[in-house]
Amino acid sequence: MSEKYKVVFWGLFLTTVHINLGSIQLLPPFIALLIVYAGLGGLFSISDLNEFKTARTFCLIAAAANLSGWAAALVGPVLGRQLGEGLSSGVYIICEMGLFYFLLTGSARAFLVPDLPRSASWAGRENSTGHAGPEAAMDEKFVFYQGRAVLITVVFGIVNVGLIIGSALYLETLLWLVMLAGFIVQIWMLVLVHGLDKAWRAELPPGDPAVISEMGNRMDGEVQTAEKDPEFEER
Amino acid sequence: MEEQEGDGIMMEEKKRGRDFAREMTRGRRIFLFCFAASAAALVIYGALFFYLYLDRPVFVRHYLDLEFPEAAAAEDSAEGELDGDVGGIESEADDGVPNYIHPLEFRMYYLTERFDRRIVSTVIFEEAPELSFRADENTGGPWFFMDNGETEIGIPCGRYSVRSVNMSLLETMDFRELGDVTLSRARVLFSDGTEMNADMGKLILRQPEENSAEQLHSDRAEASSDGTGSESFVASENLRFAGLEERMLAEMNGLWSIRINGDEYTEAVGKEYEMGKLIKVSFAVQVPEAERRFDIYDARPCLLFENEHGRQRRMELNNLNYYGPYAGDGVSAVKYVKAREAE
Repeated sequence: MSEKYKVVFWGLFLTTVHINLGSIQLLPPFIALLIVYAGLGGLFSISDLNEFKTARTFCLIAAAANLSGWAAALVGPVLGRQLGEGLSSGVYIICEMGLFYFLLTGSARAFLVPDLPRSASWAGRENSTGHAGPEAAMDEKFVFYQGRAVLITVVFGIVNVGLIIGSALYLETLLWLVMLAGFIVQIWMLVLVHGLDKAWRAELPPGDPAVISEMGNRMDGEVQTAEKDPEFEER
Repeated sequence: MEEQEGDGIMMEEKKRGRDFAREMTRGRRIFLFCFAASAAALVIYGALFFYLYLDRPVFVRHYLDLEFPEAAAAEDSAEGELDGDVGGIESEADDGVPNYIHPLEFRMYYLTERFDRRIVSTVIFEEAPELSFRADENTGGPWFFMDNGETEIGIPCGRYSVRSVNMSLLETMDFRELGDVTLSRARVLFSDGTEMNADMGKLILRQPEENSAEQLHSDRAEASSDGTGSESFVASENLRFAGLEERMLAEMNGLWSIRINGDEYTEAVGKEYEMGKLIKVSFAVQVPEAERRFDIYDARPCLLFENEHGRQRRMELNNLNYYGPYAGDGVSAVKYVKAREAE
Protein backbone atom coordinates (compact mmCIF):
# COMPACT_ATOMS: atom_id res chain seq x y z
CA MET A 1 0.00 0.00 0.00
CA SER A 2 2.75 2.38 1.00
CA GLU A 3 4.44 2.08 -2.38
CA LYS A 4 1.19 2.82 -4.20
CA TYR A 5 0.56 5.88 -2.07
CA LYS A 6 4.04 7.06 -2.96
CA VAL A 7 3.15 6.87 -6.64
CA VAL A 8 -0.10 8.76 -6.01
CA PHE A 9 1.79 11.34 -3.98
CA TRP A 10 4.30 12.08 -6.74
CA GLY A 11 1.57 12.19 -9.34
CA LEU A 12 -0.39 14.71 -7.28
CA PHE A 13 2.79 16.62 -6.54
CA LEU A 14 3.42 17.06 -10.25
CA THR A 15 -0.14 18.23 -10.88
CA THR A 16 0.38 20.87 -8.18
CA VAL A 17 3.88 22.01 -9.05
CA HIS A 18 4.36 22.93 -12.68
CA ILE A 19 7.83 22.87 -14.12
CA ASN A 20 8.03 25.22 -17.07
CA LEU A 21 10.72 25.95 -19.58
CA GLY A 22 9.69 29.40 -20.74
CA SER A 23 6.13 29.01 -21.93
CA ILE A 24 6.47 25.24 -22.38
CA GLN A 25 5.20 23.06 -19.57
CA LEU A 26 7.62 20.19 -19.24
CA LEU A 27 5.24 17.88 -17.44
CA PRO A 28 1.63 18.82 -18.13
CA PRO A 29 -0.98 17.79 -15.54
CA PHE A 30 -2.49 15.10 -17.75
CA ILE A 31 0.77 13.14 -17.66
CA ALA A 32 1.00 13.61 -13.89
CA LEU A 33 -2.59 12.39 -13.61
CA LEU A 34 -1.66 9.23 -15.46
CA ILE A 35 0.90 8.60 -12.72
CA VAL A 36 -1.88 9.06 -10.15
CA TYR A 37 -4.03 6.72 -12.24
CA ALA A 38 -1.34 4.05 -12.05
CA GLY A 39 -1.03 4.49 -8.29
CA LEU A 40 -4.80 4.22 -7.84
CA GLY A 41 -4.77 1.08 -9.96
CA GLY A 42 -2.28 -0.43 -7.54
CA LEU A 43 -4.39 0.55 -4.53
CA PHE A 44 -7.47 -0.98 -6.13
CA SER A 45 -5.71 -4.22 -6.94
CA ILE A 46 -4.54 -4.57 -3.34
CA SER A 47 -7.67 -3.49 -1.52
CA ASP A 48 -10.40 -4.26 -4.06
CA LEU A 49 -12.25 -1.16 -2.87
CA ASN A 50 -14.61 0.43 -5.37
CA GLU A 51 -13.71 3.92 -4.16
CA PHE A 52 -10.26 3.61 -5.72
CA LYS A 53 -11.88 2.47 -8.94
CA THR A 54 -14.16 5.53 -8.96
CA ALA A 55 -11.19 7.76 -8.14
CA ARG A 56 -9.43 6.27 -11.16
CA THR A 57 -12.38 7.15 -13.38
CA PHE A 58 -12.33 10.75 -12.16
CA CYS A 59 -8.57 10.79 -12.65
CA LEU A 60 -8.90 9.64 -16.23
CA ILE A 61 -11.63 12.21 -17.04
CA ALA A 62 -9.52 14.95 -15.44
CA ALA A 63 -6.55 13.91 -17.59
CA ALA A 64 -8.73 13.92 -20.72
CA ALA A 65 -10.14 17.35 -19.79
CA ASN A 66 -6.65 18.72 -19.30
CA LEU A 67 -5.53 17.27 -22.61
CA SER A 68 -8.55 18.77 -24.38
CA GLY A 69 -7.72 22.12 -22.76
CA TRP A 70 -4.31 21.93 -24.36
CA ALA A 71 -5.88 21.08 -27.67
CA ALA A 72 -8.30 24.00 -27.32
CA ALA A 73 -5.36 26.33 -26.67
CA LEU A 74 -4.04 25.45 -30.10
CA VAL A 75 -7.34 26.27 -31.80
CA GLY A 76 -7.16 29.64 -33.48
CA PRO A 77 -10.61 31.21 -33.11
CA VAL A 78 -11.21 33.13 -29.92
CA LEU A 79 -14.54 31.44 -29.24
CA GLY A 80 -13.24 27.86 -29.44
CA ARG A 81 -10.11 28.61 -27.53
CA GLN A 82 -11.66 30.59 -24.73
CA LEU A 83 -14.71 28.39 -24.28
CA GLY A 84 -12.73 25.17 -24.73
CA GLU A 85 -10.12 26.16 -22.20
CA GLY A 86 -12.74 27.38 -19.74
CA LEU A 87 -14.91 24.29 -19.93
CA SER A 88 -12.00 21.86 -19.83
CA SER A 89 -10.61 23.65 -16.77
CA GLY A 90 -14.04 23.44 -15.13
CA VAL A 91 -14.35 19.72 -15.84
CA TYR A 92 -10.78 19.23 -14.67
CA ILE A 93 -11.28 20.81 -11.27
CA ILE A 94 -14.61 19.03 -10.70
CA CYS A 95 -12.98 15.70 -11.49
CA GLU A 96 -10.05 16.57 -9.29
CA MET A 97 -12.52 17.08 -6.46
CA GLY A 98 -14.01 13.63 -7.20
CA LEU A 99 -10.55 12.13 -7.31
CA PHE A 100 -9.64 13.62 -3.93
CA TYR A 101 -12.90 12.56 -2.30
CA PHE A 102 -12.81 8.97 -3.49
CA LEU A 103 -9.10 8.61 -2.85
CA LEU A 104 -9.54 9.70 0.76
CA THR A 105 -12.77 7.85 1.41
CA GLY A 106 -11.29 4.71 -0.15
CA SER A 107 -8.20 5.14 1.98
CA ALA A 108 -10.40 5.52 5.04
CA ARG A 109 -12.23 2.30 4.22
CA ALA A 110 -8.95 0.53 3.58
CA PHE A 111 -8.26 0.76 7.29
CA LEU A 112 -11.26 -1.46 7.87
CA VAL A 113 -10.35 -4.08 5.32
CA PRO A 114 -9.47 -7.17 7.33
CA ASP A 115 -6.90 -8.85 5.16
CA LEU A 116 -4.52 -5.96 4.59
CA PRO A 117 -1.20 -6.08 6.41
CA ARG A 118 -1.05 -3.68 9.35
CA SER A 119 1.52 -1.13 10.22
CA ALA A 120 3.77 -1.56 13.23
CA SER A 121 3.01 1.96 14.29
CA TRP A 122 -0.61 1.03 14.96
CA ALA A 123 0.18 -1.34 17.80
CA GLY A 124 -0.33 -0.51 21.45
CA ARG A 125 -3.03 2.11 20.91
CA GLU A 126 -6.28 2.40 22.75
CA ASN A 127 -9.29 4.30 21.59
CA SER A 128 -12.32 5.68 23.35
CA THR A 129 -14.31 2.52 22.86
CA GLY A 130 -11.80 0.56 24.82
CA HIS A 131 -10.26 -1.22 21.87
CA ALA A 132 -6.52 -1.48 22.00
CA GLY A 133 -3.85 -2.27 19.45
CA PRO A 134 -4.24 -2.13 15.66
CA GLU A 135 -8.03 -2.11 15.72
CA ALA A 136 -8.06 1.09 17.79
CA ALA A 137 -5.84 2.76 15.24
CA MET A 138 -8.15 1.51 12.49
CA ASP A 139 -11.09 3.29 14.08
CA GLU A 140 -9.17 6.50 14.45
CA LYS A 141 -7.73 6.48 10.99
CA PHE A 142 -11.04 5.68 9.36
CA VAL A 143 -12.71 8.55 11.19
CA PHE A 144 -9.79 10.88 10.46
CA TYR A 145 -9.57 10.25 6.71
CA GLN A 146 -13.32 10.05 6.20
CA GLY A 147 -13.62 13.39 7.99
CA ARG A 148 -10.85 14.89 5.85
CA ALA A 149 -12.51 13.58 2.70
CA VAL A 150 -15.68 15.46 3.59
CA LEU A 151 -13.84 18.61 4.67
CA ILE A 152 -11.65 18.72 1.59
CA THR A 153 -14.69 18.17 -0.62
CA VAL A 154 -16.56 21.07 0.96
CA VAL A 155 -13.58 23.42 0.61
CA PHE A 156 -12.91 22.20 -2.92
CA GLY A 157 -16.59 22.64 -3.80
CA ILE A 158 -16.50 26.28 -2.67
CA VAL A 159 -13.23 26.82 -4.52
CA ASN A 160 -14.68 25.25 -7.67
CA VAL A 161 -17.80 27.39 -7.68
CA GLY A 162 -15.73 30.52 -7.02
CA LEU A 163 -13.23 29.61 -9.69
CA ILE A 164 -15.84 28.84 -12.34
CA ILE A 165 -17.96 31.94 -11.69
CA GLY A 166 -14.84 34.09 -11.27
CA SER A 167 -13.54 32.84 -14.61
CA ALA A 168 -16.84 33.56 -16.32
CA LEU A 169 -16.81 37.19 -15.18
CA TYR A 170 -13.05 37.62 -14.78
CA LEU A 171 -13.44 38.74 -11.21
CA GLU A 172 -9.75 38.94 -10.58
CA THR A 173 -9.78 39.37 -6.81
CA LEU A 174 -12.08 36.38 -6.41
CA LEU A 175 -9.94 34.38 -8.82
CA TRP A 176 -6.77 35.12 -6.90
CA LEU A 177 -8.43 34.16 -3.61
CA VAL A 178 -9.90 30.89 -4.84
CA MET A 179 -6.73 29.97 -6.70
CA LEU A 180 -4.80 30.48 -3.49
CA ALA A 181 -7.36 28.40 -1.60
CA GLY A 182 -7.18 25.72 -4.31
CA PHE A 183 -3.41 25.60 -4.02
CA ILE A 184 -3.68 25.24 -0.25
CA VAL A 185 -6.18 22.38 -0.72
CA GLN A 186 -3.75 20.63 -3.06
CA ILE A 187 -0.90 21.01 -0.58
CA TRP A 188 -3.21 19.73 2.13
CA MET A 189 -4.05 16.73 -0.04
CA LEU A 190 -0.35 16.04 -0.54
CA VAL A 191 0.15 16.09 3.21
CA LEU A 192 -2.74 13.66 3.68
CA VAL A 193 -1.46 11.27 1.02
CA HIS A 194 1.97 11.45 2.57
CA GLY A 195 0.32 10.57 5.89
CA LEU A 196 -1.33 7.57 4.26
CA ASP A 197 2.01 6.47 2.87
CA LYS A 198 3.48 6.72 6.35
CA ALA A 199 0.54 4.90 7.92
CA TRP A 200 1.00 1.91 5.68
CA ARG A 201 4.78 1.88 5.98
CA ALA A 202 6.55 -0.78 8.11
CA GLU A 203 3.72 -3.18 7.49
CA LEU A 204 3.24 -6.07 9.81
CA PRO A 205 1.66 -9.32 8.85
CA PRO A 206 -2.01 -9.40 9.84
CA GLY A 207 -2.31 -9.17 13.59
CA ASP A 208 -4.86 -10.93 15.66
CA PRO A 209 -7.09 -12.42 13.00
CA ALA A 210 -10.10 -12.43 15.26
CA VAL A 211 -9.95 -8.71 15.97
CA ILE A 212 -9.09 -7.69 12.44
CA SER A 213 -11.82 -9.66 10.83
CA GLU A 214 -14.29 -8.22 13.30
CA MET A 215 -13.24 -4.71 12.36
CA GLY A 216 -13.38 -5.49 8.69
CA ASN A 217 -16.96 -6.55 8.90
CA ARG A 218 -18.24 -3.58 10.84
CA MET A 219 -19.52 -1.97 7.69
CA ASP A 220 -22.02 -4.78 7.26
CA GLY A 221 -22.78 -4.92 10.94
CA GLU A 222 -21.67 -8.48 11.11
CA VAL A 223 -19.04 -9.91 13.34
CA GLN A 224 -16.96 -12.50 11.68
CA THR A 225 -14.54 -14.44 13.75
CA ALA A 226 -11.22 -15.66 12.58
CA GLU A 227 -12.33 -19.21 12.92
CA LYS A 228 -15.03 -18.64 10.35
CA ASP A 229 -12.76 -16.80 7.93
CA PRO A 230 -11.06 -19.27 5.64
CA GLU A 231 -8.71 -16.62 4.21
CA PHE A 232 -7.13 -15.99 7.59
CA GLU A 233 -6.93 -19.66 8.25
CA GLU A 234 -4.99 -20.08 5.04
CA ARG A 235 -2.64 -17.29 5.94
CA MET B 1 -22.68 -15.34 30.98
CA GLU B 2 -20.22 -15.83 28.13
CA GLU B 3 -23.09 -15.95 25.68
CA GLN B 4 -24.48 -12.68 27.03
CA GLU B 5 -21.05 -11.06 26.83
CA GLY B 6 -20.70 -12.25 23.24
CA ASP B 7 -24.10 -10.79 22.37
CA GLY B 8 -23.06 -7.47 23.93
CA ILE B 9 -19.89 -7.31 21.86
CA MET B 10 -21.83 -8.19 18.77
CA MET B 11 -24.34 -5.43 19.47
CA GLU B 12 -21.54 -2.94 20.04
CA GLU B 13 -19.79 -3.95 16.85
CA LYS B 14 -23.03 -3.69 14.89
CA LYS B 15 -23.61 -0.22 16.28
CA ARG B 16 -20.12 0.91 15.34
CA GLY B 17 -20.50 -0.58 11.92
CA ARG B 18 -23.71 1.37 11.49
CA ASP B 19 -21.94 4.55 12.67
CA PHE B 20 -19.22 4.11 10.08
CA ALA B 21 -21.75 3.37 7.36
CA ARG B 22 -23.75 6.45 8.36
CA GLU B 23 -20.62 8.56 8.24
CA MET B 24 -19.82 7.33 4.76
CA THR B 25 -23.36 7.96 3.56
CA ARG B 26 -23.21 11.49 4.93
CA GLY B 27 -19.87 12.03 3.21
CA ARG B 28 -21.28 10.72 -0.06
CA ARG B 29 -24.24 13.11 0.18
CA ILE B 30 -21.96 16.07 0.84
CA PHE B 31 -19.80 15.06 -2.09
CA LEU B 32 -22.82 14.78 -4.38
CA PHE B 33 -24.00 18.22 -3.27
CA CYS B 34 -20.59 19.80 -3.95
CA PHE B 35 -20.36 17.95 -7.25
CA ALA B 36 -23.82 19.18 -8.30
CA ALA B 37 -23.00 22.75 -7.23
CA SER B 38 -19.75 22.70 -9.22
CA ALA B 39 -21.52 21.23 -12.24
CA ALA B 40 -24.23 23.90 -11.98
CA ALA B 41 -21.52 26.57 -11.81
CA LEU B 42 -20.02 25.11 -14.97
CA VAL B 43 -23.37 25.32 -16.75
CA ILE B 44 -23.70 28.94 -15.59
CA TYR B 45 -20.18 29.54 -16.90
CA GLY B 46 -21.20 28.27 -20.34
CA ALA B 47 -24.37 30.37 -20.35
CA LEU B 48 -22.52 33.51 -19.22
CA PHE B 49 -19.82 32.87 -21.75
CA PHE B 50 -22.26 32.99 -24.64
CA TYR B 51 -24.21 35.88 -23.14
CA LEU B 52 -21.11 38.02 -22.69
CA TYR B 53 -19.20 36.90 -25.75
CA LEU B 54 -18.33 39.69 -28.16
CA ASP B 55 -18.26 38.41 -31.70
CA ARG B 56 -16.84 41.75 -32.76
CA PRO B 57 -15.18 44.58 -30.88
CA VAL B 58 -17.17 47.54 -29.58
CA PHE B 59 -15.60 50.90 -30.31
CA VAL B 60 -16.34 53.48 -27.66
CA ARG B 61 -17.97 56.69 -28.84
CA HIS B 62 -15.45 59.44 -29.31
CA TYR B 63 -16.74 62.99 -29.08
CA LEU B 64 -13.63 64.89 -29.99
CA ASP B 65 -13.07 68.38 -31.22
CA LEU B 66 -9.82 68.39 -33.16
CA GLU B 67 -7.98 70.83 -35.35
CA PHE B 68 -6.39 70.00 -38.65
CA PRO B 69 -2.63 70.52 -38.64
CA GLU B 70 -1.61 74.07 -39.20
CA ALA B 71 0.28 74.66 -42.40
CA ALA B 72 3.58 76.44 -42.12
CA ALA B 73 3.32 80.08 -43.10
CA ALA B 74 3.83 80.35 -46.85
CA GLU B 75 6.29 82.88 -48.19
CA ASP B 76 4.91 84.56 -51.29
CA SER B 77 8.29 84.88 -52.88
CA ALA B 78 9.78 81.55 -51.99
CA GLU B 79 7.02 78.99 -52.25
CA GLY B 80 8.43 75.50 -52.27
CA GLU B 81 11.93 76.54 -51.37
CA LEU B 82 13.97 76.74 -48.26
CA ASP B 83 13.91 80.20 -46.84
CA GLY B 84 17.19 80.44 -45.03
CA ASP B 85 16.63 84.00 -43.92
CA VAL B 86 13.61 83.21 -41.78
CA GLY B 87 14.76 80.03 -40.12
CA GLY B 88 14.62 77.52 -42.92
CA ILE B 89 10.93 76.59 -42.94
CA GLU B 90 9.95 74.90 -46.15
CA SER B 91 6.42 76.09 -46.72
CA GLU B 92 5.30 73.74 -49.45
CA ALA B 93 6.72 70.65 -51.10
CA ASP B 94 6.75 70.01 -54.83
CA ASP B 95 3.53 67.98 -54.78
CA GLY B 96 1.52 70.92 -53.52
CA VAL B 97 1.14 69.52 -50.03
CA PRO B 98 2.03 72.14 -47.46
CA ASN B 99 4.35 71.41 -44.59
CA TYR B 100 2.53 71.25 -41.34
CA ILE B 101 3.61 72.50 -37.97
CA HIS B 102 1.68 70.28 -35.58
CA PRO B 103 0.55 66.77 -36.49
CA LEU B 104 -3.00 65.69 -35.76
CA GLU B 105 -2.94 62.77 -33.38
CA PHE B 106 -5.53 61.22 -31.11
CA ARG B 107 -6.32 57.89 -29.51
CA MET B 108 -9.17 55.62 -30.35
CA TYR B 109 -10.40 53.01 -27.89
CA TYR B 110 -12.37 49.84 -28.15
CA LEU B 111 -13.46 46.91 -26.01
CA THR B 112 -12.94 43.35 -27.08
CA GLU B 113 -12.50 39.84 -25.73
CA ARG B 114 -9.38 39.44 -23.62
CA PHE B 115 -8.14 36.59 -25.75
CA ASP B 116 -8.63 38.50 -28.99
CA ARG B 117 -5.18 38.71 -30.53
CA ARG B 118 -6.21 40.83 -33.51
CA ILE B 119 -5.06 44.39 -33.67
CA VAL B 120 -6.37 47.29 -35.69
CA SER B 121 -4.38 47.84 -38.85
CA THR B 122 -6.36 50.44 -40.81
CA VAL B 123 -9.20 52.86 -40.13
CA ILE B 124 -11.06 54.55 -42.97
CA PHE B 125 -13.73 57.10 -42.18
CA GLU B 126 -16.71 56.90 -44.48
CA GLU B 127 -17.33 60.66 -44.41
CA ALA B 128 -13.82 61.48 -45.60
CA PRO B 129 -12.12 58.47 -47.14
CA GLU B 130 -9.46 60.75 -48.61
CA LEU B 131 -8.08 61.31 -45.12
CA SER B 132 -5.37 58.75 -44.44
CA PHE B 133 -4.66 57.80 -40.87
CA ARG B 134 -1.87 55.68 -39.58
CA ALA B 135 -3.40 53.35 -37.01
CA ASP B 136 -0.93 52.00 -34.52
CA GLU B 137 -2.39 49.82 -31.80
CA ASN B 138 -0.67 49.69 -28.45
CA THR B 139 0.15 46.03 -28.04
CA GLY B 140 1.87 46.32 -24.70
CA GLY B 141 -0.28 44.85 -21.97
CA PRO B 142 0.04 44.52 -18.25
CA TRP B 143 2.49 42.15 -16.58
CA PHE B 144 -0.17 39.45 -16.61
CA PHE B 145 0.60 36.52 -18.88
CA MET B 146 -1.93 34.23 -20.41
CA ASP B 147 -1.57 30.47 -20.00
CA ASN B 148 0.36 30.11 -23.19
CA GLY B 149 2.93 32.68 -22.12
CA GLU B 150 1.70 35.45 -24.43
CA THR B 151 1.18 38.83 -22.90
CA GLU B 152 -2.31 40.25 -23.04
CA ILE B 153 -3.01 43.10 -25.35
CA GLY B 154 -4.61 46.13 -23.77
CA ILE B 155 -5.79 46.75 -20.25
CA PRO B 156 -8.02 44.07 -18.72
CA CYS B 157 -11.47 45.23 -17.71
CA GLY B 158 -13.37 42.28 -16.29
CA ARG B 159 -14.29 39.93 -19.09
CA TYR B 160 -13.03 42.33 -21.77
CA SER B 161 -9.92 44.31 -22.45
CA VAL B 162 -9.65 47.97 -23.34
CA ARG B 163 -7.49 48.53 -26.39
CA SER B 164 -6.11 51.81 -27.62
CA VAL B 165 -5.06 52.79 -31.10
CA ASN B 166 -2.84 55.76 -31.81
CA MET B 167 -4.24 57.58 -34.81
CA SER B 168 -2.03 59.95 -36.79
CA LEU B 169 -3.32 61.88 -39.74
CA LEU B 170 -0.93 61.41 -42.62
CA GLU B 171 -0.09 64.72 -44.18
CA THR B 172 -0.66 63.69 -47.74
CA MET B 173 -2.88 66.52 -48.89
CA ASP B 174 -3.78 70.12 -48.35
CA PHE B 175 -6.41 69.89 -45.63
CA ARG B 176 -7.50 73.49 -46.22
CA GLU B 177 -9.45 72.22 -49.21
CA LEU B 178 -11.68 70.14 -46.97
CA GLY B 179 -12.98 72.82 -44.66
CA ASP B 180 -14.41 71.47 -41.40
CA VAL B 181 -15.13 67.74 -41.38
CA THR B 182 -17.29 65.64 -39.07
CA LEU B 183 -16.48 61.94 -38.84
CA SER B 184 -18.66 59.31 -37.26
CA ARG B 185 -18.67 56.07 -39.26
CA ALA B 186 -15.52 54.11 -39.83
CA ARG B 187 -14.49 50.93 -41.56
CA VAL B 188 -11.94 49.18 -39.40
CA LEU B 189 -9.59 46.56 -40.76
CA PHE B 190 -7.84 44.15 -38.42
CA SER B 191 -4.53 42.36 -38.64
CA ASP B 192 -6.19 39.03 -39.39
CA GLY B 193 -7.90 40.46 -42.48
CA THR B 194 -11.35 40.83 -40.90
CA GLU B 195 -13.13 44.16 -41.01
CA MET B 196 -16.11 45.84 -39.43
CA ASN B 197 -18.10 49.05 -39.54
CA ALA B 198 -18.03 50.99 -36.33
CA ASP B 199 -19.92 53.91 -34.86
CA MET B 200 -17.14 56.17 -33.66
CA GLY B 201 -19.29 58.85 -32.11
CA LYS B 202 -18.48 62.28 -33.49
CA LEU B 203 -15.07 63.60 -34.39
CA ILE B 204 -14.97 67.19 -35.54
CA LEU B 205 -11.90 68.17 -37.51
CA ARG B 206 -11.79 71.94 -37.76
CA GLN B 207 -9.55 74.22 -39.65
CA PRO B 208 -7.18 75.98 -37.26
CA GLU B 209 -8.29 79.33 -35.87
CA GLU B 210 -6.70 82.08 -37.90
CA ASN B 211 -7.20 85.11 -35.73
CA SER B 212 -5.48 84.32 -32.50
CA ALA B 213 -5.65 87.94 -31.43
CA GLU B 214 -9.26 87.35 -30.41
CA GLN B 215 -8.33 84.56 -28.04
CA LEU B 216 -8.43 85.11 -24.32
CA HIS B 217 -5.81 83.10 -22.52
CA SER B 218 -6.15 82.07 -18.94
CA ASP B 219 -3.52 83.14 -16.45
CA ARG B 220 -4.14 80.21 -14.25
CA ALA B 221 -5.72 76.85 -14.97
CA GLU B 222 -6.31 73.87 -12.79
CA ALA B 223 -8.00 70.56 -13.33
CA SER B 224 -8.57 67.69 -10.97
CA SER B 225 -9.06 64.00 -11.61
CA ASP B 226 -12.51 64.25 -10.04
CA GLY B 227 -13.65 66.20 -13.11
CA THR B 228 -13.59 69.66 -11.62
CA GLY B 229 -11.36 72.51 -12.69
CA SER B 230 -11.11 76.19 -13.32
CA GLU B 231 -9.46 78.73 -15.56
CA SER B 232 -9.05 82.33 -14.54
CA PHE B 233 -7.71 85.49 -16.08
CA VAL B 234 -7.67 89.19 -15.37
CA ALA B 235 -9.81 91.18 -17.79
CA SER B 236 -7.53 93.42 -19.82
CA GLU B 237 -10.48 95.48 -20.97
CA ASN B 238 -14.14 95.82 -20.09
CA LEU B 239 -15.86 92.63 -21.15
CA ARG B 240 -19.42 91.42 -21.41
CA PHE B 241 -20.24 87.74 -21.45
CA ALA B 242 -22.10 86.99 -24.66
CA GLY B 243 -22.70 83.28 -24.42
CA LEU B 244 -21.25 79.87 -24.98
CA GLU B 245 -20.24 78.40 -28.29
CA GLU B 246 -20.88 74.75 -27.78
CA ARG B 247 -19.47 72.36 -30.23
CA MET B 248 -20.22 69.08 -28.58
CA LEU B 249 -21.79 69.91 -25.28
CA ALA B 250 -25.08 68.50 -26.55
CA GLU B 251 -23.45 65.07 -26.65
CA MET B 252 -22.24 65.65 -23.10
CA ASN B 253 -25.80 66.25 -22.06
CA GLY B 254 -26.22 66.27 -18.31
CA LEU B 255 -22.57 65.68 -17.58
CA TRP B 256 -21.19 69.16 -17.22
CA SER B 257 -21.67 72.53 -15.61
CA ILE B 258 -19.89 75.85 -16.15
CA ARG B 259 -19.87 78.78 -13.77
CA ILE B 260 -18.41 82.23 -14.25
CA ASN B 261 -17.44 83.86 -10.99
CA GLY B 262 -19.90 81.57 -9.25
CA ASP B 263 -22.84 82.20 -11.60
CA GLU B 264 -24.29 79.55 -13.87
CA TYR B 265 -23.15 80.48 -17.38
CA THR B 266 -26.76 80.82 -18.54
CA GLU B 267 -27.41 83.39 -15.84
CA ALA B 268 -24.17 85.21 -16.60
CA VAL B 269 -25.12 86.08 -20.18
CA GLY B 270 -25.04 89.88 -20.54
CA LYS B 271 -23.07 90.35 -17.36
CA GLU B 272 -20.20 92.85 -17.54
CA TYR B 273 -16.74 92.46 -16.10
CA GLU B 274 -14.61 95.53 -15.55
CA MET B 275 -11.04 95.81 -16.69
CA GLY B 276 -8.61 94.52 -14.05
CA LYS B 277 -11.15 92.24 -12.42
CA LEU B 278 -10.49 88.53 -12.10
CA ILE B 279 -12.77 86.31 -14.14
CA LYS B 280 -12.83 82.75 -12.89
CA VAL B 281 -14.51 80.11 -14.97
CA SER B 282 -15.08 76.92 -13.04
CA PHE B 283 -16.41 73.73 -14.51
CA ALA B 284 -17.31 70.21 -13.42
CA VAL B 285 -17.75 67.01 -15.35
CA GLN B 286 -19.64 64.08 -13.85
CA VAL B 287 -18.92 60.43 -14.42
CA PRO B 288 -21.74 59.22 -16.67
CA GLU B 289 -23.95 56.20 -16.09
CA ALA B 290 -22.59 52.77 -17.05
CA GLU B 291 -24.19 52.91 -20.50
CA ARG B 292 -21.95 55.90 -21.37
CA ARG B 293 -19.08 55.34 -19.00
CA PHE B 294 -16.53 54.23 -21.58
CA ASP B 295 -17.19 57.10 -23.99
CA ILE B 296 -14.79 59.96 -24.56
CA TYR B 297 -15.86 63.57 -24.45
CA ASP B 298 -13.52 66.41 -25.23
CA ALA B 299 -15.93 69.22 -25.98
CA ARG B 300 -13.67 72.28 -25.82
CA PRO B 301 -16.49 74.79 -25.53
CA CYS B 302 -15.76 78.47 -26.15
CA LEU B 303 -16.86 81.23 -23.85
CA LEU B 304 -17.68 84.30 -25.91
CA PHE B 305 -17.04 87.78 -24.54
CA GLU B 306 -17.44 91.14 -26.20
CA ASN B 307 -15.50 94.32 -25.50
CA GLU B 308 -16.88 97.82 -25.48
CA HIS B 309 -16.51 98.06 -29.25
CA GLY B 310 -18.45 94.90 -29.85
CA ARG B 311 -15.40 92.87 -30.82
CA GLN B 312 -15.60 89.26 -29.88
CA ARG B 313 -13.14 87.64 -27.52
CA ARG B 314 -13.08 83.86 -27.25
CA MET B 315 -11.95 81.72 -24.40
CA GLU B 316 -11.58 78.00 -25.04
CA LEU B 317 -12.00 75.61 -22.12
CA ASN B 318 -9.49 72.90 -22.86
CA ASN B 319 -9.99 70.79 -19.78
CA LEU B 320 -13.71 70.21 -19.90
CA ASN B 321 -13.43 66.58 -20.91
CA TYR B 322 -14.12 63.04 -19.84
CA TYR B 323 -12.00 60.08 -20.86
CA GLY B 324 -13.89 56.95 -19.95
CA PRO B 325 -12.06 53.91 -21.30
CA TYR B 326 -10.18 53.26 -18.07
CA ALA B 327 -12.85 54.59 -15.72
CA GLY B 328 -15.11 51.57 -15.76
CA ASP B 329 -14.95 48.20 -14.06
CA GLY B 330 -15.92 44.76 -15.33
CA VAL B 331 -19.60 45.15 -14.49
CA SER B 332 -19.95 48.56 -16.15
CA ALA B 333 -18.07 47.18 -19.16
CA VAL B 334 -20.75 44.50 -19.54
CA LYS B 335 -23.52 47.11 -19.17
CA TYR B 336 -21.83 49.37 -21.68
CA VAL B 337 -21.34 46.60 -24.22
CA LYS B 338 -24.92 45.38 -23.84
CA ALA B 339 -26.24 48.94 -24.25
CA ARG B 340 -24.16 49.43 -27.38
CA GLU B 341 -25.27 46.11 -28.81
CA ALA B 342 -28.90 47.04 -28.23
CA GLU B 343 -28.55 50.22 -30.31
